[in-house]
Amino acid sequence: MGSYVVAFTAILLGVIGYSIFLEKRQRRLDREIEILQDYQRQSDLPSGAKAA
Amino acid sequence: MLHATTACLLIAGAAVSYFASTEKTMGDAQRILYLHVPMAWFGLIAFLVTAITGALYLRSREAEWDYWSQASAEVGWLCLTLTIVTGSIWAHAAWNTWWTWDPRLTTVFILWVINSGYLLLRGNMEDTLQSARFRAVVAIIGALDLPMIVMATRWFRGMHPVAPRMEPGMRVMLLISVAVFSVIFGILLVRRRGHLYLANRIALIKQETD
Repeated sequence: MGSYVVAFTAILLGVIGYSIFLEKRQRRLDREIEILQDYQRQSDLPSGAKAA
Repeated sequence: MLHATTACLLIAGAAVSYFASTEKTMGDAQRILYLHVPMAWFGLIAFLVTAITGALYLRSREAEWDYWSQASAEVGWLCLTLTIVTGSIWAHAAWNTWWTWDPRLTTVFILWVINSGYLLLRGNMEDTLQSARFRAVVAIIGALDLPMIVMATRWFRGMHPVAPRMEPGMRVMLLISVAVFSVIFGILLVRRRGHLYLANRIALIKQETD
């Protein structure tokens, strides 16, 4: 059972590691979108409202 | 997504551990078959998808094909790496060696090197359009290794088995394992393609606002 457990652990680490990388990347992209949306909202406001 | 992939993996691991019958000659080490074979199949399929979508990109110049090509190359690289790792562990248990320059192993290693080169090209070229073209060409040339891998055990003499006969129970377990891994790699592929699309959209919006 030893070598099977080692092989399964390798796959577990590989797939979960890549999934974590994708999750982090997703969070980073979501943050960038939020920043861009904020920026666009700010630039849509009239200049007086921006100062307030 | 992390929960879904982990759950799928644990289901596959539990099914292989508890329901797969133990083979007489190799014993429990033979269970690696249910991990190694799906990894190898998906590694080859992923590179084939990389080459096909690369060719479609060269023909149409639509970025969409490049996203699929890149995403598939990444997932394929993961599969090929895990194929080599699990194969090496199995080889140590069955042949008493971690690695041998057997034709099948060598051709798979060549594909892994080509796939790594493809991913390095993406990271190291500034001109994205030129980089996409180069990558597509590398993928198409690399795909020539695929028939070599498939036929390696038939064309050349080596240690890797050609097409071992399996009991019906083993075949069913292998199919279950392939099904579970296809769900996992499908999720990863679609998610990665989504990231590439989104990152490109963000870069375009940033360019417009600058």
